[in-house]
Amino acid sequence: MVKAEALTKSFGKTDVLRNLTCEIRDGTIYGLIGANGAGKSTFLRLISGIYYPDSGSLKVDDEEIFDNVKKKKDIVFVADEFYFPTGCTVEQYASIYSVFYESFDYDFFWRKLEQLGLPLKGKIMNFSKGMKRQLVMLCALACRCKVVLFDETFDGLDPVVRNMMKNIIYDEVANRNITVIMTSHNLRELEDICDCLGVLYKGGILFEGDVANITSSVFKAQVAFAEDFSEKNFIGLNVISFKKHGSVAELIIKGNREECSEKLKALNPLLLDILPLTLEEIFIYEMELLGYAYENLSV
Amino acid sequence: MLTKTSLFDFRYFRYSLKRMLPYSLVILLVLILSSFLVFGITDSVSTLLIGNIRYIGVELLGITANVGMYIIPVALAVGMFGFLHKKNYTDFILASPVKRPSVFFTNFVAGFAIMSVMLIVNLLFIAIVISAGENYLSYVALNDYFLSFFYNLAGYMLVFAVSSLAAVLTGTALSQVYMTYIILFLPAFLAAFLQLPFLIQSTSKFIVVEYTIPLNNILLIPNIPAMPLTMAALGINGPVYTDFYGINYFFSAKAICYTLLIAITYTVLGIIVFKKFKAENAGKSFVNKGVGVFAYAASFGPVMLICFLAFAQDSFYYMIDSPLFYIFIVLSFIAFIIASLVFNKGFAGFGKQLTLYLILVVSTAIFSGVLNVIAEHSVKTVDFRKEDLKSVSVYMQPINAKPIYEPNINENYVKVKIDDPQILSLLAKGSSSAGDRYYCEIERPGHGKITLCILLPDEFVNALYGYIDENAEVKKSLLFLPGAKNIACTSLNIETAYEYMSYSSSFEKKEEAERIIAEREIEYLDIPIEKLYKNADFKNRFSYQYQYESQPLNFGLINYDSVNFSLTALRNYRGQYFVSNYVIDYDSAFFYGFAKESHERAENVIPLIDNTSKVAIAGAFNLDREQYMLLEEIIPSLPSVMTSDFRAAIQQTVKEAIETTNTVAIIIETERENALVFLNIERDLKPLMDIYLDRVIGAFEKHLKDIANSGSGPATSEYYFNGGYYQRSGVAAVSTGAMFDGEICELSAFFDIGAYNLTFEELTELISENKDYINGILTAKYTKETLGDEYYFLSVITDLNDWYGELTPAIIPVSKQMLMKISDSYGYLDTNSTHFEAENLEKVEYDSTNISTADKADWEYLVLLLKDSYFRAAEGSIYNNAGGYLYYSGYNRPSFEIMYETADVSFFYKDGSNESAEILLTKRASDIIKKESGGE
Repeated sequence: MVKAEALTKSFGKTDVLRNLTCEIRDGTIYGLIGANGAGKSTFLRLISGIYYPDSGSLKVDDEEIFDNVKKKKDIVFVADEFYFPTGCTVEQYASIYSVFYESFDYDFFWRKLEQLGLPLKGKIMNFSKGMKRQLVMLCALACRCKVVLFDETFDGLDPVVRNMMKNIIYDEVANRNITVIMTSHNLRELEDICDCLGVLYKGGILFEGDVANITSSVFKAQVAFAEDFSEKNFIGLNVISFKKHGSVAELIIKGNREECSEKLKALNPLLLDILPLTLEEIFIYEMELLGYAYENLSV
Repeated sequence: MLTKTSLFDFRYFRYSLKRMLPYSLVILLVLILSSFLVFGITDSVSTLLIGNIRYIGVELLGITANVGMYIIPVALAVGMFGFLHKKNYTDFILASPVKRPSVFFTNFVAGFAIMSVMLIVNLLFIAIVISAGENYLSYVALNDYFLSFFYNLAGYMLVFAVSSLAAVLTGTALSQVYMTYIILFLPAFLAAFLQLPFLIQSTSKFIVVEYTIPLNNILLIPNIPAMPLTMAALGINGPVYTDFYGINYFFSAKAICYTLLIAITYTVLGIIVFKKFKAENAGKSFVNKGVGVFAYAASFGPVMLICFLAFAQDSFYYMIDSPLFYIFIVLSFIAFIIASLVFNKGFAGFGKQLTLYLILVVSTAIFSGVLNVIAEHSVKTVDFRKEDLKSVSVYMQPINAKPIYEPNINENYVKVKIDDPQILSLLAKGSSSAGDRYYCEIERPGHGKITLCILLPDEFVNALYGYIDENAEVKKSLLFLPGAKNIACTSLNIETAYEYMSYSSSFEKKEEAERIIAEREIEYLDIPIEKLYKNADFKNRFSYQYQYESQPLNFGLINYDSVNFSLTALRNYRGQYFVSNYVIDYDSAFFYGFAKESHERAENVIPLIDNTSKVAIAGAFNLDREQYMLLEEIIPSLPSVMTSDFRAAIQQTVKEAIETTNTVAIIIETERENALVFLNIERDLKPLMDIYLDRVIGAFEKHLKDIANSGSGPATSEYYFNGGYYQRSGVAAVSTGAMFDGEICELSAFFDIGAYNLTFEELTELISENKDYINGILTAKYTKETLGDEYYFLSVITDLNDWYGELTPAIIPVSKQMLMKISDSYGYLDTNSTHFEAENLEKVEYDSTNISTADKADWEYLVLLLKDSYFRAAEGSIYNNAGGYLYYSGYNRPSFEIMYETADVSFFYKDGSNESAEILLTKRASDIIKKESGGE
């Protein structure tokens, strides 16, 4: 488990992370979304032991990370900008990882590389940006670490490859119960893969939750009644948004979908249409609920 | 078993080596190629493997490695710690499961391993190349050979450690390099320049503002990589010179150990700093503001210090006279500009920094000036009182040590402690006559000890000598360097006429050296210390050279039972004077007596020279101006003050009349004094010369190997010819026209080099075939008629350096015919030029004044001078009306020719041609010109 408590990190006079507190369970794919400069990369660098926190604590399995070789063996980090030695080949690159991670799984690496259709030989400098990212992600997964950190995970990947990579990550999490923490400034990239999502805003986790819970507990209902009605008619339901267009109203309701549906039916509506919400829509409403304009997050 | 949690990570080590392999191979290639380049400089490429290569000794072995010491480790460290210059690379390394100290240390070890391999390969390469050329490698002292390797290795390690530390203090390659040199050179730079005038308490009469000892002692640290800058600083601080003079000092185990110690310190520091390294600073010039400010301060520091010194009262005039002062100011300004560019990655903020720079300069100058005003006033009030002195320990130099300057005092001097109140009162009381300057450790009640450099009153010094004579142990400690171990007696190891200048070490004569020194100990113990120190006793003493372990070469005095000395003979032949240097072999029984007799005469003469005026010496000998100047020239160290009773005193001493013909005035050179002794050529000199010639021939025939391997190397001379410098190998020799008409003292090219180049074999043959003739010349057997118009000297030179007279150990007189036999470069000797015939002359002009003398003898004489000019001519000094230069001479004009005035004389020939030359204005030439110009 990755646990951050009151984590603070500043660069000069700029506080990048301020009292960040969160818990990431084992076997989770945790998505961290936030605008540029929100502190996503810094958070990952702190988890990987590159940075040392100014204050607060950051523990993996109850152990501090910084300069903790034993623990760092369980963590691999893929930065948003990659380092490739000049003239390095795929094999040489994998061998560099194997220097630092003794459990590097060459079999997995070559198999997945082939599966993704990446060249097995040749110099990396000739690879496209997306190919490079695939390579680095595979190297990281081949390290067989318990915690894998991906910064700007799918940046530069086309939709097909993105799905393939997601499948590989799924499999790894399912088969080996690893924890994957990935960041993106695009919610749509993460919504279909992450178990849990957190929104990072101005150095702190603004909102987080399990994706399954979030999507099943918030839904949209379109209703119309024979008589005039207002929001007050829905007491007993957790309506987080109410918009009326003529005789039809659009409600965003948080709660058990079945129960809420029954309650609405009990009001004898002329029209009742229960619709699911996209994760992005849910975030928009949640942010609004917290008093933040979703657009400001640039998610 | 090393694990990943230990300081050293083997897997990471292998990765680092692999990573740096291509980089390292390129550097190694450059190192080896540069070694080739050095070989190439010593001779042409064609003779690389068969020519001079055999003479390359220890000095050259490490030259490329030495130069590379300041470049290669830095380049390697930039590559090795390059991951700190790129953010993504830094992330990659720091995210990996290797402890930070381990990352640093493992990289350091990898770099050190690479450098070790590099140096070993370079060493083997050089050894193989030398062996392939000539099998002379065995003659190279192995200990020096390998010590030089370890010296380089230690230096490389230190520079690499510094650069590694610089890497973690900076975030870009440029900043790393800059910071490397700052850390590397700043301590030595500060040590060299911070010898600030220091207020010293002394007696009221002997206030001395001197350099502070603790700061001087910093320079004792054999900080190898700091050497170049410290050497550069020597022009400003003379006293540090001896510390850094002589490569032996640096090729010492102590220096190596010390360097390693510093390297380890820097490495540990690097580990500590790297542990705290903030990855977010990768790519920035400096990891934090503090380091940046330090770098700026270090860049500005030099100019501040220079200003400080410039305004310091004792340094001011010295500084403004020294070109180094201005060079350093320019360099510091360049450093400032570079610093600005590096730190700011451009000219942003340049103006602001320039302002800061100027403020620093001005404020430093003002501060220095204020400080000096304070210093001047406070010094006047300082005085020692009797009750202030508890004891005084005088630093005295052991009698057998070469004079060593201040910075060495703690290592090479013996402290003689005086706590006798009676003697101390002499110091407290002061004196009207200041004695010599001594370093003293003064102990005062309640004030502890202070080490000062003061002028001790004569009364105190005399009492000090008395104290030493009464204390045998103290005296004995002064006879030898404490704890020193004799390893070789360098001047006694090669039985050739060349031993005088030979510097190679040999253990063959160690026992003899020890015996000599043991004898000297007995001898010295019987002599009052004062006499030894004041050079008043010259009995049985000659100079010799010796060397202690890890010490520079020393010159000592020794009795002439094992004499090794040189003679400079001033020969008076039929009114002419000639100078010759003779090197006498030490084991010849003949010379024992000869030297003893000569020196006993000299013993009483030397003090007279000390007290005799220059003017009087000319008067005493009835020397004319030329003769006087000649005498002055050949006795360069003759003291400047002489008295008029000089000649009478000599005659009284030698108890015989000084002949004016067939007499040789011999200057006997010892380490500290020269003495003149007059000897009859037939009686005294002839047997000497017989043996001398045998020795020279024997040396050439039997000891070429030793000569080749002596520290001086083979005979190679540099000369200037046709606008370029050339080097020749073999025996460099010079000839000069010496006899014209029995009147002129002609020495024009005597000490010069480069006219001829012979092999040792050629010279041996020449001398062997003409032994009688040469001896005849030397001993005045031949008259002018038998010699012909000219004879010449061959000066055998076996060293590149032509600045020192002692590098001309053998002077061989030869005839014109002999000279022509060995010479192909002076073809004009064969030329029957009509220009050299007086009857072809139509007129001679001197300084636009027509001189048309009917006296054929005068014309002939002037033509002789013209001929002489051809010998001595500097390039282009003789020209003719046909256009261009008639004759280009290959040699530089000897310095002492300036004692002759010269005259521009044009020679017009009957065939319409003419030529002009700068001839020597001899007495006779002057008379001719005066006569023809009506006495003007």
